Amino acid sequence: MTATAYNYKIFPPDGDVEAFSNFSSYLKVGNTAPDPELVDLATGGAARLSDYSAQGLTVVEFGSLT
Amino acid sequence: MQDLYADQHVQSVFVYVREAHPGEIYGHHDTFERKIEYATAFRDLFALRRPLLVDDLTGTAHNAFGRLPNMTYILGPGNRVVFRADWTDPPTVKAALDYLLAIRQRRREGARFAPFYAEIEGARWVDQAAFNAGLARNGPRAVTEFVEAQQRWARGEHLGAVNRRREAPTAAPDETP
Repeated sequence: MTATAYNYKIFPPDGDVEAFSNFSSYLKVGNTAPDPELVDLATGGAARLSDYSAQGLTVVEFGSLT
Repeated sequence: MQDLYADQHVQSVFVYVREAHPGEIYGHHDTFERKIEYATAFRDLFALRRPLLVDDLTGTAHNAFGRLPNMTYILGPGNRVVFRADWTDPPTVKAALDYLLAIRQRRREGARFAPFYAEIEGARWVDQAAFNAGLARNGPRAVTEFVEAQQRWARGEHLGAVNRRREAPTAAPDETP
């Protein structure tokens, strides 16, 4: 998915219903979650979820301003 | 919630992803710098105290976890998924954490547990006022586009995919005569 398609300017007519319909069918409980590189806003440096999950249970919430 | 579990080694992070409802004030991310700018606004607006991790511009992390606007996962060591929800509902997350922590505590005390797989049908309280305020904050266009989407949903458009989510996968062929 390109950056332009991913960062839509207009809310898609179907509300990205494809993502909702696919959610329950992959990355199940018991699977190993991916560990892509993220940017820590506080430091500007690279961070990964595994940096946190190595220390114990880690609650990961995804979201934006809306 | 992070304070509630601070002494139990529970970590809590927020991953900032694309703007679900771009508007005139907060629009879509056209550059990574813009994404950082909006993530900073988000942190300040909600006085977020959790570490805020920003996904890349193409949504690599967001896509890998399901691309929904407000998911919650709980990960264990090795990034093992121990809980996942397609929307964030704080009481549900708290119930899951209490469940998982209680098992860990009882295991430390010597109780024997066998792993098993479970699913639950979630129900989340909808804070419509807060959601509407968020749309308005992003800009009038975000409000209009969501109202129009609701009207399409009310007319039954795009529901096929939503319903498929609730259907069981194709069953194995019936071998009985």
